[in-house]
Amino acid sequence: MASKRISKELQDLQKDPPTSCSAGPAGDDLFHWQATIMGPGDSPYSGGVFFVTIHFPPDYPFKPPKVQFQTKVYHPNINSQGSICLDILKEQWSPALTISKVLLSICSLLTDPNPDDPLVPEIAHIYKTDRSRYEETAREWTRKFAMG
Amino acid sequence: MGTKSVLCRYFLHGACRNGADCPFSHSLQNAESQVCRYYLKGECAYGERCRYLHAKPDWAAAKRGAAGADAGSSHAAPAVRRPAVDDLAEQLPISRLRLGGAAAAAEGPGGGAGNTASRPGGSGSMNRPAVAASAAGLPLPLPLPLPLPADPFGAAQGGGGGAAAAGSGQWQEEGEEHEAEQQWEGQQAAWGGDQQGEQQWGEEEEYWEEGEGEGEWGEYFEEGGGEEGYWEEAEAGDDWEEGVDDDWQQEQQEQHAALQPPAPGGSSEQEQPAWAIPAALTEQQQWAATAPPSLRSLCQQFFRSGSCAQGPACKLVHGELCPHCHKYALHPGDPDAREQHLAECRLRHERLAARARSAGVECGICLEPVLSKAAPGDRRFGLLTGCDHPFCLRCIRSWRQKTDAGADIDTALRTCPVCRTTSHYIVPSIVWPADSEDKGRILAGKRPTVYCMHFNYGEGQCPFGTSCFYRHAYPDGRLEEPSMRRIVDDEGVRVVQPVRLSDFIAASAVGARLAGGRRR
Repeated sequence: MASKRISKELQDLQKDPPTSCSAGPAGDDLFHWQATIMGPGDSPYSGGVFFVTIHFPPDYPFKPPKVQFQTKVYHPNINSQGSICLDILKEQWSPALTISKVLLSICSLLTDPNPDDPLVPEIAHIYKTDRSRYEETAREWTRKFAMG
Repeated sequence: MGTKSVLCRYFLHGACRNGADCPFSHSLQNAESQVCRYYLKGECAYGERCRYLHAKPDWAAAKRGAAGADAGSSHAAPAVRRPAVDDLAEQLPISRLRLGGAAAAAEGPGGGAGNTASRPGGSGSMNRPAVAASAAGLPLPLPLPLPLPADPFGAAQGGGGGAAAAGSGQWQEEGEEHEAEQQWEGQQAAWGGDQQGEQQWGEEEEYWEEGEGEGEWGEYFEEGGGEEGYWEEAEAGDDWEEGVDDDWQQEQQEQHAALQPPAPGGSSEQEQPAWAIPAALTEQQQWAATAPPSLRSLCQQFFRSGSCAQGPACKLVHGELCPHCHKYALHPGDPDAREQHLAECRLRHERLAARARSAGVECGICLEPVLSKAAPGDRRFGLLTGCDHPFCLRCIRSWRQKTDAGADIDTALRTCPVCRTTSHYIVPSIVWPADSEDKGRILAGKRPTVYCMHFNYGEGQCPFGTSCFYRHAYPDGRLEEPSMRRIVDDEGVRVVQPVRLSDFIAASAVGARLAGGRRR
């Protein structure tokens, strides 16, 4: 079931690719994907290209895929290991979600961080108290790690 | 997708027209699969209602063998066989009847032992349970494949409609049996996600999981099941027509010969054992045996083409044109048969329309059209009570049972994966409902008749309250009226939800997971 559904998602992605992201198998292994997310235009990540790895569990889609940033991101909900704190990748996962929807959710997380449920409390604190400093640092990290 | 492993039900009844070309199996080697494994283990929860055979395998019977010898003397008279089948059809789930095939060779208490050898695939032969025999009140030397009545035409005309009744009874009962199973599965699934449910229904769960493993039968019923199977085949049945074209004259003769009333007294039926019936039946005989009851007394040729070689001299009844199927299927002199045919036709059209409508509906989990799944048993919808998003029964059930995946039970598992509307149980259906009314009908058809063990006829308290899938009724049959706790204060009258045990179970499960720091 898992591989069938993954290949179906791959087909759909190739047929109708989402605007700001792309995804596909990293090698021969269908359960290990590589994806890219373009930094949303209305965020400090604008202009950056972020690499993301996706690991599908054997019982996908009944368990969520493991999604991790490979590119360093300055974000209250993304830590230095690239782990993402997003409810739909954890207890709010639904088998009706697809990789394309997950990537879109991550895009919107980049635009709208959720400082009330932070993975990196320091960044969340700065985000809440000094928004311009947060944006400046995020832009700087994006320039440094996600461009060129 | 191999249907070759599935036993052909028409073959079982001796009436498969496809012969060697039949996509279904004509081998009885697998007949054992029809025996209820839970019966063999000693206990089957379904008892009389089980659609698998409650019978010991042949070898067991052989050991007991000689004991039934005296019954053997009474086996002969095949004339009594037909009513026996009728009785069976009425009194037993069809599984038995079908198996009758298997029981077939059976040593219908002792007597049939002689034919066992003559039947192919003797390994599959079963011993019909005593209860079946006694239900029919007669010894049942049913050979396999179950032969047609010696005088099928007479059978059809004899009001009670020997094989006719058996046939239609079968279709219906199969449906019921199958739905009953689905209901059960639905219940099981509804409980599945619940810890309490898991504890209590652990055994049954195992039962059903295993049961699904042997799903061949279930799959088959859905595939070939119901009138549709018959109709599709009948419509595509060029082989019938060809046969008619080739030597219609001879066929007509036979057809009309079949009209002859059986010789009084020592009828040929009595002398001729049922299993000695020639394999090649005339078209009209086949027709009389396999067509829906409302059509059996009609002239088959006229029914198909609107003309008959015998013209007005034909002794068979020439039907009138049916507006639905455009065949000459309406009996001019029998309002009941007429009405029955019209009803069948309408039902068939509705079903075909429902099938066509459901064909493109995709499951929100596997993203495939539900009715195009590889395994026929997977081609079922799991309807959610709270919303109208389509899923495969298997997919939605697997998801709702994934309590170990860390998904939140209340806000994820119990809800629709697409819209997150809570549904307390899922309802299996082989078609996708056209509208909410249609859905209501399907749901209403699945309302449980099983009484809730927690509610216990009013003596206990059900932790699931008004969301319980099972029946809350008092001993006098009165249904429970949910009592609402009300609070009257400044804001007026408000209904408060009763506090339930399940709330605490769910809450503590969530709490335990959150405390585990899964989000970090």
